[in-house]
Amino acid sequence: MARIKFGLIFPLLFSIAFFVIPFFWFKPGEMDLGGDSSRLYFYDPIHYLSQSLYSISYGAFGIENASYYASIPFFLILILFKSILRSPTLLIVVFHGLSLSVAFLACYLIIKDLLRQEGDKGRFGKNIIEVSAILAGVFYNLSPVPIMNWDHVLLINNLVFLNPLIFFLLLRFFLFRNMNYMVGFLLISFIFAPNFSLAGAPPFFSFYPVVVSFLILYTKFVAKKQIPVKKIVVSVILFFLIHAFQLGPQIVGLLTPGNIIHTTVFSEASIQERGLSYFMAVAPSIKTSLNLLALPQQQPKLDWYAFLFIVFPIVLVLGFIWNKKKGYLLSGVFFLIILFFASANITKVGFTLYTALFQIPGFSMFRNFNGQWFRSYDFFYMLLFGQAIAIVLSSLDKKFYRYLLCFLIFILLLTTSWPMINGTLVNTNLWQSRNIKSRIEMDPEYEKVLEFIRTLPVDGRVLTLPMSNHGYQVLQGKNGGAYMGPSTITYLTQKSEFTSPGDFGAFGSAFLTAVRDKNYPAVKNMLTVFNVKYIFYNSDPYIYGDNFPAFPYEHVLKYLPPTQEEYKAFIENLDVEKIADFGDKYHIYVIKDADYLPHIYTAKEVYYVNQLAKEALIPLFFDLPEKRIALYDENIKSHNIGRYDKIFLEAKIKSLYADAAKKKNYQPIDYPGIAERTSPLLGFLTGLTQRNKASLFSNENKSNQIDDAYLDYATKRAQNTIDTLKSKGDQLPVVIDSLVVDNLNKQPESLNQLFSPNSIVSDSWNLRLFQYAGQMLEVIDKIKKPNKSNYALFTNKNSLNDSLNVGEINVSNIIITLTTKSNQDKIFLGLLADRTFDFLKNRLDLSLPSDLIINYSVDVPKSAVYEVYRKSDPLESSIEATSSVSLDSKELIAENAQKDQSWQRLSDVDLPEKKDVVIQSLLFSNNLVKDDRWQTLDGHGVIPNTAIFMLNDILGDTQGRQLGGLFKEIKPFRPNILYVISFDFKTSGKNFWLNILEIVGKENKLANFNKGDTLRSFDWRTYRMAFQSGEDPQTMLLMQIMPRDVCLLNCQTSANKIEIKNLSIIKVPQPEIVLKKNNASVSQEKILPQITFTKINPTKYQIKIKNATNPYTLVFQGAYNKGWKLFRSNGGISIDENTAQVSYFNGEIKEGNHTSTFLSPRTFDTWRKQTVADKKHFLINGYANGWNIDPNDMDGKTDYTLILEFNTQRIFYGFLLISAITFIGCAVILLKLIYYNVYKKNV
Amino acid sequence: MSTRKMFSLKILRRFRFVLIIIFLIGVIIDIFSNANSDMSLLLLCALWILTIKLFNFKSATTFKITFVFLVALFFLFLINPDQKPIERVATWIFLFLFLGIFQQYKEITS
Repeated sequence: MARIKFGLIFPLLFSIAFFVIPFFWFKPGEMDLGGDSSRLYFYDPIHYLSQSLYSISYGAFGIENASYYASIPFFLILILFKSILRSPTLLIVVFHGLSLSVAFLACYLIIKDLLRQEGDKGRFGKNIIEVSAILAGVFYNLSPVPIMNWDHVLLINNLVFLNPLIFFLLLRFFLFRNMNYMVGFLLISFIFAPNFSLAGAPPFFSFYPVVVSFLILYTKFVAKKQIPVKKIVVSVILFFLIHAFQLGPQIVGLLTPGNIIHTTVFSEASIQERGLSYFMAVAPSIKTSLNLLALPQQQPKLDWYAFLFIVFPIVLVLGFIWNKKKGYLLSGVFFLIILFFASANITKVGFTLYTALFQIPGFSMFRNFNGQWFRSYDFFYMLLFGQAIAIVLSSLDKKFYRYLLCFLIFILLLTTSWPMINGTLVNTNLWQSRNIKSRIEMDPEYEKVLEFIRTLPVDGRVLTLPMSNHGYQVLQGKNGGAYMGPSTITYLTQKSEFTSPGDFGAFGSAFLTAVRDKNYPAVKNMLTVFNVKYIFYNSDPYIYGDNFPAFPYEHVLKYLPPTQEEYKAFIENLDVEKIADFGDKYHIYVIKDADYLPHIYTAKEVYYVNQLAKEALIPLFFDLPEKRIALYDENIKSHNIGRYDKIFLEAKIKSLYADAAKKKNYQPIDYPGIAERTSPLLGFLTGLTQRNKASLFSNENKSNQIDDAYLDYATKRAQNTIDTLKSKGDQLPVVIDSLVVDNLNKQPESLNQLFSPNSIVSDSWNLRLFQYAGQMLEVIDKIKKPNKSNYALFTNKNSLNDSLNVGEINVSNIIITLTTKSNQDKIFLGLLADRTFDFLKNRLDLSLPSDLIINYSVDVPKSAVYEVYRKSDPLESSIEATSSVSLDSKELIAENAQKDQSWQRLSDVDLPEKKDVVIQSLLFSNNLVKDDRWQTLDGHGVIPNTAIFMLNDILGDTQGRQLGGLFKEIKPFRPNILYVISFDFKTSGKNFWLNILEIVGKENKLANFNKGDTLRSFDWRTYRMAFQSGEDPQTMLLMQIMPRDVCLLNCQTSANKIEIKNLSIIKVPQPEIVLKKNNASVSQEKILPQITFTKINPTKYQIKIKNATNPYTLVFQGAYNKGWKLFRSNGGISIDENTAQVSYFNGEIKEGNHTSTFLSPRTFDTWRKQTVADKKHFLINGYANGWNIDPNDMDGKTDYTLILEFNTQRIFYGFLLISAITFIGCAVILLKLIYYNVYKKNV
Repeated sequence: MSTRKMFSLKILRRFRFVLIIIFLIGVIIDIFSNANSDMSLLLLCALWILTIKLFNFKSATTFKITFVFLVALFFLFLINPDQKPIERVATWIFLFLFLGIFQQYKEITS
């Protein structure tokens, strides 16, 4: 190769080229800010920084999130850059440009160092080293996999340059033992701390352990140098010290049971539900071949040039063929290790080993394994490729071939990455939108909105409308594009906000239902209890309508107003006051003081609700004359029932119909021995873990849980028998006994009629079916225990019936797919299976009761007279159904109810303190079936002449079971309602499907399967089925009947005949029934203290209490967390109540001038102070924090000041101090070392 | 090397071409059959290791076989990128790279 002096020119030229690339992506003023975690920090880093300073999120109820701290140094750097560059567009392109050029330079330097280390000076000439290093850097930046991630850049994308940069620094450290590099690494890791936090754990753990292992082995065995152990130990200590500000609080959280981080990492559910099941779902779609070719995974269609990327693995293999050095081998080993982790599907043993790794706590972070390992894989691919290309170039004799190879590789990478270079790849449309671009030029009017919201005086939450599914805000830009991402109000205004029903947590569905039912009093009560003070409404039709027909509104559209016009009407019904308009699109409203509950208040009335926290909002659906309430739920054991002002008891439905319609939700247990062959060791170990699991069940529900567990185990064992038929069905013989054949055309009375001794003497289809029947019979007989309640017996039978149905369908499908059996054998097996299941179902004897009585059960905690209320359904018509309620056979008469009231009051009842009081609701439902008309799929009607009709020659098929047969529409259809279908039928032994289908959506005629069963009888039988309709009110409900089996013999003569009569479809309303008790005497005596509170920052409040002569409940409307603590204050900020800016409830609650003070002389005033009423800190109102404080807690004082502070924030300040000292120390050391080295060189 | 081992290798060396043909046919069947058994992978790899001993193949030969697998991958990819044999070939490439690296390391260190 010609002696061309590259020097630094070519690498610098490439670096500049990479730096310039992002400048082609945006026009001036444009920004790409949206996506899952947004990039709003580029737009306004100063305000974005505020949410990183505290461990409580601004969104929703304010949950703990200690990972926010990690971003502080990075955002400070962005603030510095923005102050210089001024424009957010410039900030974005400069940052991206630096990412690309630093990544290239780092890869270039790494390959140069590695190639020089080999010691064979003659092998790689200077030019070959330069070209190889440049090509490696170009490959790293421009290969298809890394360029895919530039359209939705997350903070994690910093790994593009961080990974190679850190590797280079560590490589230099190991090779030259120079602490400059290690200190440089520490300082860089501090600035980009999000990538070294627990939130950045997956890519961290997928890269650094591997890299450190590689460098240690490389240093020892390739470079043959000593490992600088002492320096490494010092560096590790310095790493933890410099990251103490973000790792400290997170590690404390990790080790604290109950903390969200602890639960995420260690809980059984997180391993199974969020780790392994996700991994198993994703794994089949990941291909090792695509990883080898350095191509992206999970693409709908590969680009036409994909096959050209074979050149890269070819270069790798040629490198191995011509290799003579250990360095390349070591790189190859690590490349293969990372390939395994990024692919998973390398041999079955490898896959099994991978799934076993999920038992390690924390490994579930790799559930999206390809997404977490691909950066590491991309880096090691570059590492190997850079060395391989040097080996190949040096092995090629002719210069022409060298030039050609380099040119081809460069052109391939350049052309395939051209859409990324010219900005096409990153100029995308918003997902599922009507071609709305993701680039936005911020609307100046909206900037005024943000500024205004920052100045709002009250410490209350904002409700943003229109709401979306996932907490996304959609905002039109000046340029016609739109922002779609996390709300700008949450991140840029320091105000807490609700943007989606999901933000209401477990109360989301209650809120949506209240809105859908136009229950405005309930909606207002919920907004009160959720501390909503302001409503921001974006009335722009651009962001809510045709442009976004699906995402992000598809779920909320079923409940919330579907158009902007209806939203305006909705807001008017909330009786709020408009305080500002910005242009014609943005409006801000305020909730009136009378309807507002401040962030901190003392409860005037205390209610008890007999539900768990997530369902404890029942009182909000009643009239609430007093807003200052505290709702205590069933979790709080240590309470005196007599102290409550009101008691609300929801009667729990114990309905056989509801249970028949639903699937049960319980924790399954895998007992040992489920697999056909379990090794003794595995069985022993499994038994140990399962015994441990069983002991976790509390005593009250242990019996039910064990029943459920036993049923699960037993039915799985029986299902295994059927599974073996699937794998061995073609090999197993079929024994056709003439005695048995005679019995196949009638209802069997015993299994002996179906299985003769000859047929089950050796392994055969007959034996396997007999085994299955025996196993299920054992279970059926066991569940029919005499001491079980009817309800428990029915639910167990229902569960078993579902298993029998599944088994029957599976056996039928297996028989149809047999390839080695004759039609005669298949017919025999089909009949034998049918009669076997007939026998089992007869033995099970599951039947829905014919009387329409819904039972309710309630535990009464105190003898008293209770008011009884029944929920009214605003959409219910008396034509469809009515019901009467009775207790102890006495009917509870309804008082005169107004039509628009949501609760109907019934007669009061005098109840003793007792468990399991039964209330009955007797239903009178009219048959919804008006005619006997059935239809085929193409709409042709079939009107029978008499009540009995036949379906002849209408064939369906089991593959497309939804296409055949006859259909009947069930009208009127209502969502979330229980229906019961009953009819008499006779099929003369033939099999028919009965399916209930839901046709969802206005435009999409998709049929969702709701429930199904097999109809088969010799004589007239009555069939009853219960099913629950879905949530979507736009659904059409269809009943379908079609033949089940494919005809195998005499198809011309044998007709599919089913006779049906007395068809009835009825609604089974199950209204809520609530018992309420007022304890008027308690609340009349209550004298509440006056409070004035001031927000210091989102994690600290000062509360001045006056005239606290009696016990009281202090409520803080933030997400419940044990980390919230009350402390006594020695005075603190002087709060003058006369200058308080807002007051409520006749001055009983006042708000001071709120601030957001991160650091002040008083930051540490709660250190070494005792907490107040910590043991009386409860979850109340379903989500908030409540403390029961009495004068004894304050040594009898009536006037005092409390500080409410979040513990994690207190800890954070201590860790921040440590990190700041370490950072300054490292910076000073680095400067000194550099100065010393430079000074030494000059000397 | 023990006499017994030498003797058995000597016998096998007579059939080494048969073994290599068995290996090649076995690989082709393994790639294009639907069995996807790890046992066949293991046996064929063991057969290849035996072949290395009998033929005194260097690591370069192992990598050249890997190269052949790559070429096969290329053509299969051209025909239909979604077919199952491609993943099987990728698994073979992975295994042979692993074997070749180990073999080359022994050559370099010795």
